[in-house]
Amino acid sequence: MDDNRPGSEEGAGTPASSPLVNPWDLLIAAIIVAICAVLWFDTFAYDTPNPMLGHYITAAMFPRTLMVAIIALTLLLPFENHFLERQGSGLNEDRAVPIKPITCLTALLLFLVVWSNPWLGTYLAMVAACIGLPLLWGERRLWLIAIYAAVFPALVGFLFVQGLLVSFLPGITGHIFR
Amino acid sequence: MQIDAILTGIGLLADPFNFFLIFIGVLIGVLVGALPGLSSVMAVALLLPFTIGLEPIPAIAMMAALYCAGTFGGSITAILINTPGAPPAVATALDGFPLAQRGEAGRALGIAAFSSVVGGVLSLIVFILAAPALAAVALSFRPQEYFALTLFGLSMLATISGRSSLRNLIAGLAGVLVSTIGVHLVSGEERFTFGATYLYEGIGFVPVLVGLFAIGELLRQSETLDIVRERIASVAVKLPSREDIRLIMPTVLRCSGVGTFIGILPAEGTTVAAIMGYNEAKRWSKNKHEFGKGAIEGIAGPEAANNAGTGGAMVPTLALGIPGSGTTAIILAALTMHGFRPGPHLIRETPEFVYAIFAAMLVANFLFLGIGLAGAKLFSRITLVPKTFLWPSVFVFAMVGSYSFNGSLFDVWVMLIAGLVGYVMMRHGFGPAPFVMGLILGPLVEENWSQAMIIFDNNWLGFFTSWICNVFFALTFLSIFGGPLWRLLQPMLGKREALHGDD
Repeated sequence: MDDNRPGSEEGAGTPASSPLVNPWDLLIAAIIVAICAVLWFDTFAYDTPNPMLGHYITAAMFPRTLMVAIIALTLLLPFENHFLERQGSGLNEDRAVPIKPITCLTALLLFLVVWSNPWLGTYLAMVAACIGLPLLWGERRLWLIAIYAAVFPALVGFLFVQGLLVSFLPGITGHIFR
Repeated sequence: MQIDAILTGIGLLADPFNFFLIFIGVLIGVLVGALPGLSSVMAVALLLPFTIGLEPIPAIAMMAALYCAGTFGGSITAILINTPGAPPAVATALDGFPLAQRGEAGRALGIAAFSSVVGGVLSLIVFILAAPALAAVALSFRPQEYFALTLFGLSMLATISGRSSLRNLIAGLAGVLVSTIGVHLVSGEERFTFGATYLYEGIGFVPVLVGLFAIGELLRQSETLDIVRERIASVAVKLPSREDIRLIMPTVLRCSGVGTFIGILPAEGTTVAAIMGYNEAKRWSKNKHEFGKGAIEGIAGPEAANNAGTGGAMVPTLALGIPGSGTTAIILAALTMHGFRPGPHLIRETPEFVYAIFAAMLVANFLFLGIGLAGAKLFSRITLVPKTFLWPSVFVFAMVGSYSFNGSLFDVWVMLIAGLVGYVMMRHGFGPAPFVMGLILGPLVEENWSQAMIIFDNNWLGFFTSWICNVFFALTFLSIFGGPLWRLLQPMLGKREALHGDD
């Protein structure tokens, strides 16, 4: 199986065309280091342990150790793709394709559905998702969407409310289920 | 072996309701496995909120059954539409689809089902023998040794599937870091809560798991809405003939051993097992030239290995509390949620529970053989469900499941954010499985580390006074640096061999 991997043998050791520092990975590394810096700063606010307790394990020790390890590994990140490409398994193939507008719109729709939960209530939010996502993804059989949006949320609602005794957010339709 | 505990464990499953849940688990597993994009790890994550209200044994039995069946289910679409329904079936497609194209789809499915069952059952036998033995050894471990073991488990993330060991390690450590959010149990200090009361008890792993596996994949699927796949017509599955069994049996047995071993290694999963199984099947085959063109050993090998990986993966999960794969990491989380402490104490204190899981997986293996054989025609049609309805359903389950866990909208936001971050990270080579393993192993790592540091009076060097720790540290070093070192040494060794050759 591995025999067919591009460059598994021939590719090794051939001059790589990719730059030593990958700009995407540099950005990711910078974000990770920045997050670690913020978290490290937060650890300064922790109280020092009371020696009367007989031990010196502070709340900051373990996360700080982790952050040191993460930062140390992250510093290698910008250079990794260069070496991976030399072995014929670079990561640029996937991310070279820009994120499609439909993916961004899908994320936005998911965000709107979750955001509208308190007002719409859980049930109507489910209905909104069952109408919005198929339409956004190009489904044009409106009768099928209507049946789906009516039946599926009702089944899920029944399963959770009656079966698992979950109280849904009431929202504007709350009085119906009260 | 504790015969009483075995009989009690099996007896616990005699309850018709428990049996019904296993059946449902198998059904969902085969369905989910058959649907490209949906994986057993995602299904187990989505199932988690449902199982909270159940008794622990049926809850875990249902998840374990889903895990076994999901691994097999992936082979249906791998063979019929050349698209592995689940990552472990990726190697099955290499020979399964060409055989199906030759008009022998039924034979290919039958071989896959048969090999999966044999692999699954053999690995369960190993599970039932090895887990108590491993747990007995682990019982003698002190906190420092347990810490070294969990560290080794985390370091194995460097070798799991995915193209970048470095990214796997960073994701795993990030998971451990996220697990530190909330109140520190030793000092009572709030960590990384930034004053938000929602974070006081930490970030719940259910919404994170659901977000990473379900929402991340949903966004990935939105990129491939226009892909149309070649489909082999629905077929009736044929059990392998005596001649086929004679031909594949050595491969099945060999690959079951390989799969079980890979499964037992902490953090290695069924996907790695399947790929290794395929390579081994090819290496030992007399018909190497047939591979890639529809060799039945090319189907039997990976299928036996990936299903053997499920039983193997349960060994470290239950005996050591260290997940053997992404799915078992979620099963581990479910055990914790049900008040169990996975690890050697689980086997010592409640052995009947472990035997009940063993029995559930055994039943699941035979159930999916029946369901797979009888329903392959139907399951292959399941793939006709349009994405435009399938994925909104996944989102609805993810949203309601995350909400129902604590009745909190905050968890739904966590799910969504985890999904968005997971999608972006996946694009850049960071897998969700290492992060999840880190998140779930995190509390265990910190607890043992803290206890050990208290024992050593805050002296790091104390860890090196135990030979068990030193062995695990050496293994940790090898699993992280072994690959790069080998690659570094290979050209030098090659040169030396060439020189000897010249002599």
